[in-house]
Amino acid sequence: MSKFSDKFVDGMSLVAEKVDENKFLGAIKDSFTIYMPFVIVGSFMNLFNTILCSTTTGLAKWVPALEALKPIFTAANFATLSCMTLPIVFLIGLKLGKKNNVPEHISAIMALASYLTICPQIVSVVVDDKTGTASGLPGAALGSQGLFVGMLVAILASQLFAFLMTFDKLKIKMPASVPTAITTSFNALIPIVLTLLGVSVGGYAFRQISGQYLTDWIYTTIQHPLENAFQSPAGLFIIILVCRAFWFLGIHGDLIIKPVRDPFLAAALAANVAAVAAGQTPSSPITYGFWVAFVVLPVSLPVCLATFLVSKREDYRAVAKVAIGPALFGISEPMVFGLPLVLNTTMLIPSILSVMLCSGTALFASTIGFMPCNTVDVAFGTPVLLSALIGHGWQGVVVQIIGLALATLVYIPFMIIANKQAEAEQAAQN
Amino acid sequence: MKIMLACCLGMSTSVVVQKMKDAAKEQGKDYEIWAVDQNKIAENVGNFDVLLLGPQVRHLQRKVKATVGDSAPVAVIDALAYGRCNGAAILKQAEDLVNNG
Repeated sequence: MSKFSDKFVDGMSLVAEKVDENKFLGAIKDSFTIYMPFVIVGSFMNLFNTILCSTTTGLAKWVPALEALKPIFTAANFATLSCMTLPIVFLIGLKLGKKNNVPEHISAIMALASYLTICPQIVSVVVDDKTGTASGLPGAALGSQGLFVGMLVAILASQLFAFLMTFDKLKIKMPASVPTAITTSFNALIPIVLTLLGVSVGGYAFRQISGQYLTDWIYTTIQHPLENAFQSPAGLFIIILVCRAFWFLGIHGDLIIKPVRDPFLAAALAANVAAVAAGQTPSSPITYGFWVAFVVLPVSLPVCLATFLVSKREDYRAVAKVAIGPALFGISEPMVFGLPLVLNTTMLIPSILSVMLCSGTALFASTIGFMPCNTVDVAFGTPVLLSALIGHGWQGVVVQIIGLALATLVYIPFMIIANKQAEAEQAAQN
Repeated sequence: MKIMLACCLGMSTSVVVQKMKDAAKEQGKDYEIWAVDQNKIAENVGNFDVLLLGPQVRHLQRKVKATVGDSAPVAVIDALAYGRCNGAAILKQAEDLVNNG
């Protein structure tokens, strides 16, 4: 290997190590991982509404009594998907508290309470054509629209709290006879007051100066434009390129991009489900279900298929036989390390192109309205076809088959090149 | 011997674990072999004689070594053996680490 590529590998490994060690990215990643089952459950509650309680698309068409169950599923969906910012903020506070070595549960509640201080505590209402306000938390603050500002405030509040906890003078001293749990709570009292007031003052000052809530401002100026970029073909291809670049070096690319990717994917799913609940057409194609069906699957499966179709190399065929089982479930390590795809310059171009082609086809199919946007979450490890069916219906299955076929075609010329390379090597040895 | 493998989610390593168990059985060895998510390493320290990392999480090696300390040897699984699910080779790698470490 040349010197440049050595440096490149070292550099990327270092980036991977830094991302993993970064406590903020780590806390965000862990929080979304912990919350994932609730996202899946929440999206399934919405699915139950569609297939059971809807009088147009569900069983309620023939069994009208089922419509009465709707509020139950709607409430469960609201409590998990439409309120995701609150538990995420709590979990980030918890994770950071642990990493900062301060009482973690206090840190978690600190983050949550701090976030609520900057949220609007009133909602606009219209009664008899007159607009007014009533007390309450707006859905935008509870749901995915609040994710970015929530994550930001959670980090700020947790860090401020942990910083204040380092000052011994701020700890209220208790006699030694007082139980530890109580001492811990009293020790934290002054840091809690200062953190809460600090964030609250910040939110109030922002409102006085700019005339709007920090939650709304961050959503419109930062989160929403970023979401649009993420949902665009360019955004998708850039994040795939970064992910594949790490995999090319044999580093788990998905693990590296996770802290940046997952908030977007979760917010998109929540937006889609909210759109369906409001009777609109969902419009965010790129969700975790999309990722599993159209970004993860074309990594390994097309290589196996192309190998079976045209490869004359015994070593390739042997690896493909081992790798195809896991590949059907989106597990690509046997192929990545077995063929290997790692540092395989012959296969670099198709390994990126195949994923872009498959996901690009799916994005196109969503954009023209053929394939509905994902409203049911799909867990990693769901096998091919089923992953598309659960997330995107029969249209998804069609798109997945087309996408995987295109991805396989991309590999074929490169497999033929690999055949020739092997022949040339053989000839050189003889 | 207790051999623990770790990767992201412990999914792809579980494929390898099966092959390693088969290899151990063939050799008549009664080993305990299992896979965990890389986040679960810390809570398992002390339960294993050797820890093998999937090559895709090799960037965690330094951190994991610090977590495990002197309690057991830690190494990254040979990438090619991992990819080709060569259970016997990885088993030997684990045995060598324990016997020479």
